[in-house]
Formats: sequence, structure tokens, C-alpha cells
Amino acid sequence: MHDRTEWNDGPLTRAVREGAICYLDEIVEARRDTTVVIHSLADHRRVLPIEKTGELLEAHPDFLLVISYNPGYQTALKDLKPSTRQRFVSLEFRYPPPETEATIVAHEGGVDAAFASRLAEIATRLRALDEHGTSDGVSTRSLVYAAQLVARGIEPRRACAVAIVGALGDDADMQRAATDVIDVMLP
Amino acid sequence: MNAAVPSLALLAQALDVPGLAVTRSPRAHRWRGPIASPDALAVHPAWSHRVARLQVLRHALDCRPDGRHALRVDRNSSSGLVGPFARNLPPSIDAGRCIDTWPYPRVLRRLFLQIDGQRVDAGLPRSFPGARNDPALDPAPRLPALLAQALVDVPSPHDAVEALHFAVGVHRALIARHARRRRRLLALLDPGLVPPLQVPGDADSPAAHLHPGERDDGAGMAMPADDGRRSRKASSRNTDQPPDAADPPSTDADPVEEAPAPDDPPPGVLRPIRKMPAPPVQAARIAQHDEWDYRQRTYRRRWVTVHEQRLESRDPGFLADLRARFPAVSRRIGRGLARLRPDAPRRERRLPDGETIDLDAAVEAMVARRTGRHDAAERAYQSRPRHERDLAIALLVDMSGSTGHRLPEKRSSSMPVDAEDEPLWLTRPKARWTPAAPQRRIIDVARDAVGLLCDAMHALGDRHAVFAFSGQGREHVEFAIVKPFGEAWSARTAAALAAVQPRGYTRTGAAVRHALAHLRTERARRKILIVVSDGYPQDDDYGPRDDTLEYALQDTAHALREAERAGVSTFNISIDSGDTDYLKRMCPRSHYWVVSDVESLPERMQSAYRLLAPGV
Repeated sequence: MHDRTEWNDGPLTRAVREGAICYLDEIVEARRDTTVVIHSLADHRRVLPIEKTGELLEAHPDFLLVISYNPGYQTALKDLKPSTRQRFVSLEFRYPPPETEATIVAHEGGVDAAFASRLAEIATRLRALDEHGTSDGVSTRSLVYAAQLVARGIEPRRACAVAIVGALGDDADMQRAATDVIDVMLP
Repeated sequence: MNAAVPSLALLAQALDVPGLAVTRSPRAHRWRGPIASPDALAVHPAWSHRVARLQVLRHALDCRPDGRHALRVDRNSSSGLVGPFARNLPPSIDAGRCIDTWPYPRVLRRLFLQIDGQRVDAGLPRSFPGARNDPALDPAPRLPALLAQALVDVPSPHDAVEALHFAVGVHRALIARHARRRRRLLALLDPGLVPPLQVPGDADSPAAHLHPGERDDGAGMAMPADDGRRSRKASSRNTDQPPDAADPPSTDADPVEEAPAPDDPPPGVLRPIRKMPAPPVQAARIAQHDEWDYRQRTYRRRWVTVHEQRLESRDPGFLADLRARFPAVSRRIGRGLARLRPDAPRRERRLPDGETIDLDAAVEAMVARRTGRHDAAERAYQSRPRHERDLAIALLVDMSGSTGHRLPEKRSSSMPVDAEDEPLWLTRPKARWTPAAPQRRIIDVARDAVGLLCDAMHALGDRHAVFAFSGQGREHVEFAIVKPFGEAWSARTAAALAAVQPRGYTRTGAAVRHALAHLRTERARRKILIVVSDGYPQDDDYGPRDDTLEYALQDTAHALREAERAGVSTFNISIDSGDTDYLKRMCPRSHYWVVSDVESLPERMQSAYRLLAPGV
């Protein structure tokens, strides 16, 4: 019985069979040819062909497929194919509005509201630099990091330099401009 | 250091000024030179990164909606910002072009850069707290003494438009002051006068503007006609010196007419400071108005310049004192108002048309129709009568020099004893100021009357404003805002009323038009303009030399008609202590009261109010 290959359902197949929600994070990181597997599952057919076993698995009525990715992330190569994308309804998540972001940073980073909104405003301004696509922009995450550093006693400008400016990439002008923005915006 | 420039462009982008071209230029200067475009910024090669960065921050503030680069002026508006050289310009012009329409664009630009630049620097720490100390690295330079002096009284503006208003005001004041001493003004323009230390390159192109001397021949400035044509008003001035006599051109050197008054205060109007400082003409907002030339039967477009400023005073005792001096009037106002005030707004029923349906009437009408009885008209509506006091009232008070006239001695002996009916002015003062109560001036009476009226309007909850006017010449009609519409009547605003002092002349037409401009922005359904004057409009150059009176009267009457056409009811109260009320023959009698017995004015003001606002 050990000389043959046994088929085990993976997470997707199990979800299809049993009627669960399958969440595929960072879908653009998958090999492009594998992504098309979900096409038949994600349109009106709602079937998953399992080539290895020859099974045409019909999706459980409760089955739901969710995918997520960062659009325009790094390269155009790693973008979702339009044919895949059009099979989904999409929810767009942008950077939170400054007030919300400040609340997040204050809560997660352990800094007071005033400093958190300063950080949020700095982030908004630095994101305005991102039209060039030279960097990923400033994430809420790096703001939280900066805030946590400050909460532990690191000087604010220094904390922002290592947590925010450093994450912006290595373009010298960009870094200089970001340093200036932080310098003039912080009290 | 060259690498700093792209980083500065990026900085600008982060500060909402994308696409800014930051270049290095040895001519770069924040405080001199042209008003650059919003898309380009020059930084001096010798500047440190921090100073260069400061320019980007300032530029970012300049580009905000209240900044100089967002400033647009409607060429045809009467804002007073457009100078006489405005031909061949598009309808909407920017600050730079606007400045070029004036006789001395370089001076004006320099003033504007100074005033607006300091405004920006003052606000910079709010936006960029980390750079709060940076403006000190490139501070506003010291101006040549003459310009610096002219700027002493200029308050800080709120936005670039106001800064431009102030700059234009100073510019005009300079022109007016130096009209006869062009050489001084030219010297002021001479770059040689400017300490070379602070001039890393004046970017003003000398060819860009004509030499001022070539185009300032009277355009936009009026020489005070000094031909002995002084009449009653002029003779009452005691500081009547020709402008040339004022020696060092200081802001205080303006010949300000003071009333020919002794220095003791009038009864009840106790003010520690008798003599008002010269009005800070420079701080004024400027507007231009047309003037009616009855001989040519046409308007002289933008002929008169009105300088508008807030009148303030730190004498909050006026209102309390006023009420104390007129207890009878105060009581009467209170009582009268209790009667007048619509406590329960009555409804008018059975109207052919109205705001809502009158249910009773509607049912009756239906019944009538169903039963075949056809009433003549179905008056099935009801309406709340226009008693909701949707009123805006502007009081326009003549504060020209002639209102400093003493009133003839009152027959105080004939006072009735009953406090209720007593002549209002003398009850308390008599007790308090015996034996020698100084004579009251027309302006004192007018002030009291206006104050009491404001009390009444305040009690009724009507929007009201108090303006006062005087001036000298068409370039300098002073328009003082004693109480703006938006402000509540309080001891503080009343104090401003106490600060109204007689000076200058009476160019009533311009003042009426300016007050009308204020009323136009009010949204009340009924608007009223009450002019309190002595019925004798007169100014330096109010009309051709041989015909000033008729010209002035015609213009004033025309201005009043303009107000009526604009839906503003006008009413004149003329305090005629002599026999010089000429205006009354121009106005409908129902809208005109000559008060020869000046002291009954407060009572009559009340009646006037009732007459004009019958909705109570």
C-alpha cells in the first residue's frame, strides 16, 4: 500500500468540498499559470477540476473564495490578470484616512494623540512623493514602528529616520526630502 | 550642495506643490524682486540647505488658498486693488499684474512682499513647527526709512488679499503724502538708498517698469485743491496746514482735523484721551466707488477711494454711562419694545395665498363646494405675517469736522420736572455737571442717539451696523466701522462709538455707496440705511470748483436713489444746527427729518425706527 500515490485534498479543495471560505493572500505571488485553476471556480460554473484524480468537484453552496494582493506592487509582472480580476467583486483598501491612521498609531504605538496625528500627517505628505513609484510609500506599519520607538524613549526625529525614511528606499534625494518633511513637521 | 535642489523639489511635492522647478540663482531673494510664479522657485547658491528649505516652506504657504499665488483680482471689480494702468488686461489678474497697474509698482511690490512675507512667516510655525526658528535665518529686511515708517501702523493681515489691500493703502498714502515732493518719492525708489548689505541682487528688472516720473502725472492721485474755497467747515478746522508743511514724513504728519474744541470733556462722555491719534490710514481696506456727475449725466467710474477701517477704543464705560444719562429713554425703549415685540406671532388667516393651508378655511371651502354654495374666492391659506423681524439696518454717521460745532446753549430752565417727559439730555448731567456743563457738540448728540438706537435694535434682535465717515478728497474717504453687522452690541462696540471724533469733510455719496455695499452682503429681507448728517455734503474736490455744492448734493441724492433701487430703504436724519441743510430739497419729505432741536434726536430716532420697521 506504500507503493502508490495517495491524493490528499489541499486547503482549497477542502474548502470547495466542505463549503468554507478560502482566503488566498498575496495571490499575485503565486505562479501565474496556477492562478487560472480558480477560474472555473470563480465564475458561474463553480467547479474545481482535479486533474490528478479526474474529479470535477462541484462547489458546496456555502463555498466562498477571497483573494487579496497589493495592486501595482513592485512590478507590473506581479499584477493580477484581468481575466482573474473580473471574476471577483473588489473591495479597495487604501491608506486609512489621517484621523483613523492616527488612532491606529496611537493605539498600537503607545504615543499620545497629538504625536500620532503628526506621524499620520507626515505619512500623508510622504505618500504624495510616491507618484514616482520609487518606493512602497509609507505604511501604517512603519508609523507604528516609529511610534513604538518613541514610546521607548528614542528621540522622535531619530525614530522616524530609522523607521520611516529607511523604509523609503535608497534614493538620496528622496531620503533627503523625507528627512526635511519629518524635520519641519515634528514639533 | 547642488544635490539639494531635486530634494527640495521633492520636499515641495510633499508639501502640496507638485512640479515645482527649484533652480539656483544668484538673484534669488524672498523680499525683493518680482512675485515669482507658483511653479518656479529660485534659491541662492550661497544659502545653506536650511535657508533654501525655508524658501520651499514659504512657497508652500504662498501656494495655499490664502496665499499670494492663489490671489486673483477681478480687473473690473471695485475692490480698490486695481490701479489706473489696467488697460489690456484679462478680466482676472494675479498679484504681480495687479501691482503693475499702480504708478509705483516697485514700491508697491516691495511693500506687498514685506507685509505678506511677514504674514507668512508669522503663520509658518503653525504648519511647520519643526521649522519655527527658521524664518529668523532669512528675516524681512529693513526697509528704507520712509517705507518702514509707513508700515508702522499696518496690522498683520489674515491673507494675501488683505496684505495686498494694506500694501495698496500704504502706497496710496505715500503718493498722497509725497505728491508735492516727487523728488523724495523718487529718492525712495532709488536702489542706491537701500543699504547694500541686504541686496543680493534686486531682481526687479529696471526695464520692466517705466520710470515712475514718466507716468505719475496726476493719474490716480488728487491734489488737494487749495484755493481758498473754504467754507463753514473748512473754517472750523484749526490745523489747516498745506501738506507740504508737514516736515518729516511720518505717519502722524497727516493734517487731521480736530474739532475746535476746548479740552474738557463733554458731560457724561468722560474719556481720558481727548485727542485721537491720527487714524491709521495705512491699515485700511480700500474700495473704489463711482460718483455721479450731474452735469455730464454720467458716472465717474471708480472715482472715489474709500478707506475702511475698524474703529476701536478701550473705553467700555460709554454704554453704561449712556444708559445712566438717559434713564427715561432707556425705560421708554424697554417699555416700547415690550409692546412692539411680537411675543406670539399672530397668523393672518383666510388669505388667497400664503405659506400654509388654513385648515378651517379649507374645510369650509370644501363643504361649500360640495353643498353647491360657491363662495366667491377660496381663501384657504394662512400666512405668518412678516413680523419675523428680518431686518438689517445700517446707521451711517457723519463725523466730519462740522459735527464738532458746539450746540447753542440749551434753555435748561424750561425743563419740565416730570422725569418721564424731561428733555432727555439734561436730567442727570445737570445734577452731575453743575455749575459749568460744557457745551455739547453735534457729534456728542449724534453719538448718544445712535447708541440708544443700537440699544433698541439690540433688544429687538435686529441685525445692525454702525458706520461713520469723513475724509479729505476723493482719494481719502474714511469709512469707520464702529460696529459691523456680525458683531453683538456690547460695551466694547459702544466704546468704538465713543471714539468717533469729528474730522475732515463730508463726501456723503461715497459713504452711502460704501454702506450700501455692506448692506448688499446682508441677506435680510428688509434693509434700511439711516444717514445721520448735517445735510451739507462737502469735500475738497467734490465736483468742479465753481459748482461743488450742487455737484455734491446731486451725487448724494443719486447715491440714496441707488440704495432705494437696490431695495434698501433710506432715511435721513439731518442735524441742522445752523441753516445749512441743503440736502433736504433733494429727498422725499417722508424720508427726511430735519432736527433743529438737536436734543430731541434720540426720541425721534425711536420714532424713525418705528416708522421704518413697521413690522413690529
